[in-house]
Amino acid sequence: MTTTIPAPQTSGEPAEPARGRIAFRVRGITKVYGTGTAAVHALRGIDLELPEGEFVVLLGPSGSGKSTLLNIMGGLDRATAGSLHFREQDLTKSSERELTVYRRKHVGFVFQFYNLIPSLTARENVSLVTELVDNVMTPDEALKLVGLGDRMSHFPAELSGGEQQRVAVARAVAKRPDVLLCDEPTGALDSVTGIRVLEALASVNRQLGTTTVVITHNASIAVMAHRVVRFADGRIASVEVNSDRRPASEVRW
Amino acid sequence: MKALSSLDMKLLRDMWRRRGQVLAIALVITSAVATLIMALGALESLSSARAAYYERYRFADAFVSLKRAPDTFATRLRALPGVVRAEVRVTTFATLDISGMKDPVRGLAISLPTDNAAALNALVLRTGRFPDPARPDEIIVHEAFANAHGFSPGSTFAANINGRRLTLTVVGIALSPEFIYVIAPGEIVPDDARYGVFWMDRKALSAVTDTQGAFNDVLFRLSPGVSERDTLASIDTLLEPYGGTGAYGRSQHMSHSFLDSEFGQLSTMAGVIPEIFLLVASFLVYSVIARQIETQREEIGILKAFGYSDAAVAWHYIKMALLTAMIGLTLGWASGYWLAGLITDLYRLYFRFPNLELSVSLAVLALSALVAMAATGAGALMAVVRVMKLSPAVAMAPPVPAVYGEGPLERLGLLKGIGSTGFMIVRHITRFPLRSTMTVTGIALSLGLLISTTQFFDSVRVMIDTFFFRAQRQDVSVTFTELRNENVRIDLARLPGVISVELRRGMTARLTNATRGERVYIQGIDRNARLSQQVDIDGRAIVLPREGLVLSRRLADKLAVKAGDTVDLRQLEGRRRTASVPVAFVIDEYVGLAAYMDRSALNRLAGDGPVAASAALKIDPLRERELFHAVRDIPGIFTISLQRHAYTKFRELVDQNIMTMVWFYCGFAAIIAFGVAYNASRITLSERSHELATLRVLGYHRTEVARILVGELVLLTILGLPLGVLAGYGLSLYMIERFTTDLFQMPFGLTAATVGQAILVVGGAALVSCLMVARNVAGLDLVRVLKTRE
Repeated sequence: MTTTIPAPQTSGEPAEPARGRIAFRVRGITKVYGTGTAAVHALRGIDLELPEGEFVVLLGPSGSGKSTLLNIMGGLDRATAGSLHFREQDLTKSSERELTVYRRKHVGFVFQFYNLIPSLTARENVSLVTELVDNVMTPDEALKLVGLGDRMSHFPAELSGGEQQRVAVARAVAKRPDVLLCDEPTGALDSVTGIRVLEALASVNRQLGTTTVVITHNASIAVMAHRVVRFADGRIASVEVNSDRRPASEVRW
Repeated sequence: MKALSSLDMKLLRDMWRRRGQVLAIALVITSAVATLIMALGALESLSSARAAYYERYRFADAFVSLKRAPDTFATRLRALPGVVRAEVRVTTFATLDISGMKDPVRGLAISLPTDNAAALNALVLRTGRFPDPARPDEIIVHEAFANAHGFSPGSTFAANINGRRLTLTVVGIALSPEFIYVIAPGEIVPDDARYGVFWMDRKALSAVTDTQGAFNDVLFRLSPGVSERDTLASIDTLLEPYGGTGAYGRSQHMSHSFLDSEFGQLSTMAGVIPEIFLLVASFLVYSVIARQIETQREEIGILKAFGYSDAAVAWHYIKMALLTAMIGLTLGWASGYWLAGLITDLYRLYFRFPNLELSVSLAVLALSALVAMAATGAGALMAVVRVMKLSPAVAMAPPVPAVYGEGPLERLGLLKGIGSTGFMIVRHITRFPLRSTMTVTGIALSLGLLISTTQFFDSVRVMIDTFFFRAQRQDVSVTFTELRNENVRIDLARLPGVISVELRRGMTARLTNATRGERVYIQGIDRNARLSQQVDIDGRAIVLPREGLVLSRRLADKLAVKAGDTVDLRQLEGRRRTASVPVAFVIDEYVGLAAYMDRSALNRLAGDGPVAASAALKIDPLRERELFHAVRDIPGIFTISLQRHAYTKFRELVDQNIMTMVWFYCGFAAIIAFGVAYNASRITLSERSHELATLRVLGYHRTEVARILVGELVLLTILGLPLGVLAGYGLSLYMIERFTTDLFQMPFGLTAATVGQAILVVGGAALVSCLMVARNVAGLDLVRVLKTRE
């Protein structure tokens, strides 16, 4: 698999992560769905800091609040209370339009079900984001990065699940995002293809310094992470910093 | 009350959830039903009102005018085979002098029947009484004329009949079945203020027209089942020595045939417009139900697994279509009834019935219900075929993902540079060719409908332009009481304000070619005429040949002759000559049945020498009044009429009638375009909500995402518009053809402005509906999309 990441076309933001800077600062975030007796408390006051450039794994059972937090971090959902800063921007105070600009400029998403556009080829799916922002890889570069250099003209229906997810990764990283948010990226994949996708994510994190946050049910993925955050019942149960990171190839399913 | 079954509850909830689409389709059906009810309702009301009127007041079957015959001769007419009754009377034209009217007013005086209660063409007395036979000045006036001048019993006005001045007193106001549509001879629109019909005692009228003990007009009742043509021929033979001008049946009766042409237009309208709406409704029902089925695959699978039969599930969806049709039907009945009322009110302005009530029969309601249900049912049936075929196991599994590919346009490299979102639009359109075609067709039909209805404006404009500004360029027309020699030109030229004079003469004749024959009025015009030049449908001035006839296309077709053929001409007046006359050429023009001949040639044919029966004048408008005063005192001038009035009246008619209808049609076309575009966008939004939400997550702004939705519809609309223009062109030609009668040939004059306006209305409606749907992009659930497989 190709792991050489092309250099940015212009000398804009540093490729190397500015270690020590805080990418996300979360303070007292709560999220309540519904009101009165029907109210569901998805997040019950979260405090968290994620440094730039880290590979972070969020673990926890269904309904523990990890996806809700990821959605708020991605500017897709709004907190009920508390603040969440990405660098200097308080996402909880941003307008709908500002959140869209935030996603457009800074965030790459990878979803469990790939969410590719079926009417577009692999290359065109990647173009969807490269057409939006400057200082990007070409779609071909991004697809080569995930090892799909020879499948670029294929439509999603002509690709396997793993290939589709790698197209999704290429689409997420092609704009050299500052953060990569992945919700169960291997949830629908078998172990072999799952590992290939994880390798792609790890190499992006390593070479571009992209802060990467991965939600998973698969606790073994935690071995790859700089930091592992465990959720339970809308709260953070523990945060561990991993001193001995293992490559994706050693992840066991 | 029996509780609704769960399946029916589901049906109602599904409909409620898709209420926008249900309403859009219902409105298209409403338009279909409304136009059908409007046209057929008005047609039924008019035709039954006419039939009842004719029946009750004994409208005659045949008519003839003659020079003069003694009363005793009437028994000969009554004895003719095929004639049940023959009623003789006296009629004459008059010039009226009405206080407050500065312009000339023409009148038609008719002798009253001896026994109105049993007479043919009996009068319907509206107010007042019948004249006292001892009072020769007492008259009954037609209601239209009375209304135009505010006459009531007791009003008086002066009349000049046959050179004698009379003061007439109105004692009654009446209607007559022979004047449902009152129009002066030679005019194209009614002008109730300047042309009026009145009835007076026969002795009084005979005294001024020198017809004591004689008659000059006959009404006939023919026995049912006899050949009208043969009877008319025997009447003509009998009246020939008395100057009979040719007997004719109801089909050539002015008022009757105007109504007939109106009936024809209404039935054309009923036969074309609702069908277009229903076709579109059928398309819409098909696409909406097909999409509904697509989104409810799993539910269908479960229902089938539970033991619901294929037919029960299919019926469930068909019921949705039929319920939608019923909503449309109910709204259509209500709005159709309202529209039929409006159009009937319009008709009341022009058609004088004692009682014109709007009545929509059960048969019309049933027909509208039947066609609405059939059209929607057909659309639904097409869609549910898939449900029938679906096995429960297949239905419950997720649908096979849509397979896309590159189309021929892309392989040719024609779509370079349209961007990824551009490809999303193009490939979605080509992925669903049937639905895309239906949307394009729907837009095209809505545009076609609008063009073909609003083009009547252009048609009328061409008619006005040709008739008033190119063909009939005189300011004033003058008719003489009898044929005058050429000296009349000098007399007229001496009148104040007259700039130029052109003489004309006409001749009533029967033209025959083998078994085909037509009674026509041949217009004799000078070859070098400038004021009353004949102009063909393309606006070219016609130069009459020195010899021979020029026929209108419709007349030539009726006689089955072409240029170079000869026809047999039989003069129905004067010396009653017969001749074999060559057809010099045939012209396309707006008057239905018309024949022209050089005046000198016509005079020679009639054996009359250089004579004229009327004149066209060009005058100095500033001396108009002076001229009218002078004319009033000249004996031998029968009528004088101003062209300007005809023009104004025509414009009024156009503005009142056509404008109202055009607004309806714009509304209807907009409903179709709106319905088509709204449903297409809704379906696209439903199909693509997952993709569009994904794009929002990827950082696309709402407007950028909405652009994909709008872009697809704009593209389909752009494809539909040229087709719509073509459809409009074709439909226009068809409607023009269908609207053509013996009275009128509608010109085809579709202009770019009309097409442009129609495009704006249809395109605008499509865009508005699509923008309404595009607003829903704001409500896309971005979180859910991360968690669900499409």
